[in-house]
Amino acid sequence: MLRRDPLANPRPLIRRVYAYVAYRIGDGADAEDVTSATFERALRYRASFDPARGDPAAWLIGIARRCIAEHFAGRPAPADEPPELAAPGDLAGDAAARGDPARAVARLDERDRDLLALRYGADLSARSIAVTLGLRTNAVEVALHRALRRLRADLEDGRKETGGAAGSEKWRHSDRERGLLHEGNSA
Amino acid sequence: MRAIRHDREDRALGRRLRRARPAPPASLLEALDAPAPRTGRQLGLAAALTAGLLVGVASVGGVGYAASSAARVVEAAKQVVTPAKDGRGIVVKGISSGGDQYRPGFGFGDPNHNHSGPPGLGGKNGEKTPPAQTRTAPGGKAVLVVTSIPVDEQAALYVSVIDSHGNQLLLTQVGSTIGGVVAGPQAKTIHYVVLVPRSIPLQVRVPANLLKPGETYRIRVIAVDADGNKSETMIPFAT
Repeated sequence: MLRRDPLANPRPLIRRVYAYVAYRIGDGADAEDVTSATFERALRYRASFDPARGDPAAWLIGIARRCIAEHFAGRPAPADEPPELAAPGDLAGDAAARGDPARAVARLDERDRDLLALRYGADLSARSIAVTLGLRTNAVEVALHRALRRLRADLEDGRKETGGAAGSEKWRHSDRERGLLHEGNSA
Repeated sequence: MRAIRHDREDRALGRRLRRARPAPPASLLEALDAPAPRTGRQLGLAAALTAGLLVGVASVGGVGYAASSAARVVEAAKQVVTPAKDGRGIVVKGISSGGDQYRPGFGFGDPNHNHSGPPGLGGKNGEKTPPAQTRTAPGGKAVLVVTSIPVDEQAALYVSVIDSHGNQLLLTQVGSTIGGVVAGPQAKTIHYVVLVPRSIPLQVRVPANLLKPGETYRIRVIAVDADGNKSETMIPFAT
């Protein structure tokens, strides 16, 4: 007998889990696969959900984190680098994309991305994030502040660099270099 | 003042991130939000676990082993009550474990094994392997190749099907018979240990999409006895 069904109202939970996963690995088919795997596993193990240890969202995010790790662990390492194609010359589109915070998150490092995804994708409180990551709440708040500062700097850099042709060229080059890590993950 | 300004900027950026957060497609929401009765799922889980267990047992040959063991017991009993056709003096004093093995000509574990040379695959009295017959399996997705092969001593058989270029085809073990029932995943070579020398019925199940009409293929049977002597024979068949 279930003490409390964590999946009684799944829609908001699906949105939060999907947003978390998409902030981590990029919006699209991979995020859908991982979200599906998360809920499939949650259905199987929902009897093990303990409300005393956190709310259903935090429980699901814990599962999603494992699913993401398995998703990438199961992938063979690429035998060779994908060919680096010339960036399209759509400066207006590039500039708009540059100002999109969701895309800017994808350019941050893994730890910052995880923190921001937990806070603003999954909508977990700093306290829940601390429990999930095994950190102190204060440490999470500081780390979040630093991640936001780096994100803000990235967004401001983008605005400055897309202001001139030389800057645009420089940005496109560096972004392509960093973007290789997320090949296929972003929509 | 600076801390307050930073806090305000963090909150503003946080709001932007929440607004910009990716939303799941409607199809995913519909798929994951579909109601599923718990009892049905529990039954499904039980069925899945049972199926997994069976697959696990079958994958290590457990089902085939159990079936072939039963066949061997029947064969051993036959040896006790049926006189040997070739008239050699066979004394079986009772049924014991391995009782069917301890007679001349039986190799594995028998110090009196008196068969010299490689296993004979032509039969003691010169009988030949009958030509292989093919027929389509029910459902039409596989072809069954049927024949038999005499084996005159205990031997490990390795059965495969090769095409005109010498390539081995993938064989479906479930539905194939080599002396007894075999089991396991699809494989290019099926292994079967013959403990009672006799005419071994062969039925090899080949996926139909691997066979081209009008081409000739061969069943290759390699027999290896307890001393490591090896013999090989080819049984051609056409589709």
